[in-house]
Amino acid sequence: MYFRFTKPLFIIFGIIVLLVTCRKDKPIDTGIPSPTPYELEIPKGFPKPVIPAFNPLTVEGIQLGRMLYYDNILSTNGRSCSSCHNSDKSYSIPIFVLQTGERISVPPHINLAWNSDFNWNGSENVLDHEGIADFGPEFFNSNQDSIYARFSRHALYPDLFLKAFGLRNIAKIPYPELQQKIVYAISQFMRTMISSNSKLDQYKNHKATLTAAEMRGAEIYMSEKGDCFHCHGSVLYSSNAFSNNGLDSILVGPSEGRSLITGKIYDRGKFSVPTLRNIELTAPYMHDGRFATLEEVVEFYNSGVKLSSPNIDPLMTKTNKQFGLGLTHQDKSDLVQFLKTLTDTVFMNNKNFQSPF
Amino acid sequence: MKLFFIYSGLIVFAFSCKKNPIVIEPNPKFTISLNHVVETSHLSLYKDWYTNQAGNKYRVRHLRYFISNIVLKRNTGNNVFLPVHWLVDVESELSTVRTWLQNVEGNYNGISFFIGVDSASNVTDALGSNLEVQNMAWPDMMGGGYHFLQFEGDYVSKDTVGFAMHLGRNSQLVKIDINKDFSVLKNGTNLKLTMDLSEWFKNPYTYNFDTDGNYIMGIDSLMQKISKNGNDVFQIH
Repeated sequence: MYFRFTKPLFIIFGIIVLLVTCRKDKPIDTGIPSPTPYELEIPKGFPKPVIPAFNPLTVEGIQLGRMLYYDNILSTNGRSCSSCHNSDKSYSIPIFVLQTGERISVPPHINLAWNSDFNWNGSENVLDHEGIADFGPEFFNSNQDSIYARFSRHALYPDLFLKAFGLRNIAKIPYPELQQKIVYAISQFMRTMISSNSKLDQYKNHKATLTAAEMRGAEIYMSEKGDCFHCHGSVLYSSNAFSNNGLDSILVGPSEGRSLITGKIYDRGKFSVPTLRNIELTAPYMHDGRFATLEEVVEFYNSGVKLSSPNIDPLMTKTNKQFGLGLTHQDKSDLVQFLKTLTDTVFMNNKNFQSPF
Repeated sequence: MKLFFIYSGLIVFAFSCKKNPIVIEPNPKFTISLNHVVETSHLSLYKDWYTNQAGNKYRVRHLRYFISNIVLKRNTGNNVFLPVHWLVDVESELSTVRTWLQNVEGNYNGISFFIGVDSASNVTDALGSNLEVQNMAWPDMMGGGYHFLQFEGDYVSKDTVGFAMHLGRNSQLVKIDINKDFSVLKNGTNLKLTMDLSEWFKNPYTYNFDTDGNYIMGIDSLMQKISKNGNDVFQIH
């Protein structure tokens, strides 16, 4: 009897094994349409942007992110991202004072798709994680129950989260996952905020002319006379590196800069090299906003560099800089005029980056 | 028993019905890996202090350079040309290794290349928009093209002062020509080249920070000293 049934069992078993192992995988139909891929338009001459595979750009994600950027729904104190990132200041504000009393010159949200580090000391190196800290008491002072309640009863957000990330029933999503998706959406939006149409860009594309003063300023910027280009070169007008430019001769607390993150002695006093795009609009200057005007910045580089600063960048102590740059009054004025050619009014007025409300 | 083997065979066949495509091994690889030393010591950025021929005590913070126009040389003249614009940054280990998949199996008696960008490509924006490459741009107002070399650090004079040896412009291209037998094997070969940084400061010119200065960019007489010294910075190991 045993052998009567083993033969057909073997046949059936073999067929099943054959079918299961050679079957091609088919996607499971969830009934949720996939978000629409969004292709970022890369300006001519720009490098490849940093877009992680885990958070690709989609039309729906960007739309959701833009709303969240301007909505104080995330906070208990009335703040939104735009509270500290105003369009008329190149998506920044002059100063933010931390609860510790530390003053921070707020970095602008411009060309973030090309940043490899965020914050002055590079405390975060993934844009899609950067915003998580904003839920804390320092910025939004978010309340978990409040966020769930507000999103769940909102006329638009449930559908937007569903379309962007396939998330049904916001109230059932674990809070860390919801926070992450909020930040992902905002990051997608921020990656679209591209500035590439300043007067200088137009000049390079033969669509504008520079004044004589601006041309003289360009020569100072792009030569050993001013030597701005080594750190503020490329189309980003930033090397995307960290540098100690000799602000302080004694480094204590926040002035330790990048070394507070890496623990490395040779990172002491280093801060993120900021873009100079729209620099005219983002006073005050340096990580702590110590310089109120571009004229003060130029004068610092001309005569105020602390050569004794520990770990100062070698480029700051070249022979021709040990006694300052030696710029005349006219040179300094021309250099400031040149810096203003990096202002991009097209970016400032782009309605796609402004509030949808 | 016959049926048992049939069914076992079916099962084996079923489980070996893989979805993955068959992998075809690529051509044998030829790799060049770069090593950086100061005389007999492995280069240590930021940390170790070295002494050059002039007696200057110095340490290295950054070392970036281009390698281009690699030629694997044969006495017969049947050389192999590897067109490349290879940007090396010693802070990035990945950038110190380069692999070619083309078959260059054979015996050679030397290698030549440039430290820098060959004149045909040493034109502003010619090498594309990669950010690291853009950061090597040589300003148009100073001749355009690219930095061939950025060798930066600190040296001790009365105080500790920075130095920046930046080389550029076509006339300062550094030509490397090493005559040494080596073979590239059928199953792949890793050719190791070693740069001795001490050579930048000597042979034929003894470079002295105290008298020559601590930066050279745009100063032809000083760039020429470093360019000539650079002819023998590399060896095959």
